[in-house]
Amino acid sequence: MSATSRLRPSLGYGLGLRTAHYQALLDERPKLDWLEVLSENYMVEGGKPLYFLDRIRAHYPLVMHGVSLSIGSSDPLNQDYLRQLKQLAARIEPRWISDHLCWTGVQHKNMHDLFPLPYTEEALRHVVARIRAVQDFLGQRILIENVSSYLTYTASDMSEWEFLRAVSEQADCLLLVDINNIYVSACNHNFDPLTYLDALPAGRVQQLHLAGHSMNGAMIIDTHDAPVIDPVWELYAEALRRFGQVSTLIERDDNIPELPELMDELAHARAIAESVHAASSAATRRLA
Amino acid sequence: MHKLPTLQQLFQNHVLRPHSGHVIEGAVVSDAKATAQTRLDIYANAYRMRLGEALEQDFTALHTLLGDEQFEALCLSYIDTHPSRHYSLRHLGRHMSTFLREHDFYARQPVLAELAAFEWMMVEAFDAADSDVVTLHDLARLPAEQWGQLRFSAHPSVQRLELFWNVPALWNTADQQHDMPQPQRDANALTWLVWRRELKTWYRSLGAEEAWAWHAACAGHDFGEICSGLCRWVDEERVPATAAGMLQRWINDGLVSAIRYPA
Repeated sequence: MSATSRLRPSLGYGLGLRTAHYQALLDERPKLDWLEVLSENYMVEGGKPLYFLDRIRAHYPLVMHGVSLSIGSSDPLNQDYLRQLKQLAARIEPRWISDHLCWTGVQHKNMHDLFPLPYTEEALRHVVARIRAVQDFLGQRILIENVSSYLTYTASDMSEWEFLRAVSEQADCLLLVDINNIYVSACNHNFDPLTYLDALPAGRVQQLHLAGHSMNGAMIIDTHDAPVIDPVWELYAEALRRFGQVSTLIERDDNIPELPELMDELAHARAIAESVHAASSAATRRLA
Repeated sequence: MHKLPTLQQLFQNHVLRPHSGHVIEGAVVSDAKATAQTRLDIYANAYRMRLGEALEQDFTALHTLLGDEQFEALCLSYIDTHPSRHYSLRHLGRHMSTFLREHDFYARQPVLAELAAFEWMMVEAFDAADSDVVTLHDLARLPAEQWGQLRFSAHPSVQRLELFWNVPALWNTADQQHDMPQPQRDANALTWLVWRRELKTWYRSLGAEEAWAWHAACAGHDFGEICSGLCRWVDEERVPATAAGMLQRWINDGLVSAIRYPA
């Protein structure tokens, strides 16, 4: 399979599906290209979540985004979780399924956070084997997302971007590149975010995330409670120059505004992408 | 250097009990921006905040009754005893009522365990399995000679609990941001049902005879047996009308998902 044929065509510009917007999405049908649903919120038996999901699905393409796969945990993979995930995927037929390069707990506890991994050969082998197992079970490639982190381990003997690249190539998975997470981690760990972007395999980048964050002293915390800031928009443009037209999504989990405000942010993303695309086309014509 | 399982165990121990002196700092890089301790504390603090917010969302009335400070103390104590073992935070509060009932301190205020039980049933009803409900039209089409042998299936969202305290009144005012009344205990427990009809969660109390009849119906007794049992409360000649009235109300409330009778 060639590098480019792995990737689905861009879905365009989407938002994370949030309960606050259920009714407005059905009543007003805003011009959104697609929606991303948090898988765990719909791994329930019935009621409101599935009622709205089924109806919204009739109008928008969906992708599934999880937070509890815990692909890096030293616990065994949670088979019950995987069955539920597969069951939900069968119900809503998402364009793809993603989760994070992290671990969420051990000894059968769930801390409900995206804990960073040590970037070691041992962790690499472990994560690669588990992504392969998950992909075999689901019958499709999954997307793995880089997380924001607030610490690094003394045990790490490679950078996060080297680790992520190796994971994607050895597990043959795709990438969900969170631009804000790169920015947050770059500030928290003093690295150049462009070095990170340069290292990623463009042929595996299926989706981009954009979000806001907040400051906590000298550290930046990935809170998803504010608009995307200018340096993250600039980094987004840099990502598009490297990866081409990629499905782009804005995440907001707190201080959730009305849809029009988020649509304005999406319009800004679209404008940046069009500008990057136009510049790239002009450069190509000059070369020709 | 720690192997991955050991490192993760140490990290998690720190998040669960940040002040218990677990040796993890050496495994984390300190630099000019922040020490290992500061960096680890971000995760430890976020853990408590995130799980506390989830409990606050599910136990609004308990929060109102206890006030911010006491509710936060309860959350910390609860999380310490019952860390999440499920992939979804949706299930975090499932032990709250038992925890309150069995805890030395909180057991002195028994209204707390009852309120938590009631609020948790609201959570359970919210996303319980969907099911069709029987209508009065369905009931009217049943052959009259079969009525004595009718058996009933409750909607999957229906739950029953016995309450001594004025819990629904407390819950109702907390939900509507009104002043909460004083907790009051009755000498006898009252039976309550909590269920979801379409997308809305409902609750109501049942008199002693209806509580018995509902329990009998859920236990698989047929309509004839339920009528016989009602003779404990109702004169024999009024039993059929009383039982039929109850059944009609159960159906109108959306509590019955199926009626079966022998072919």
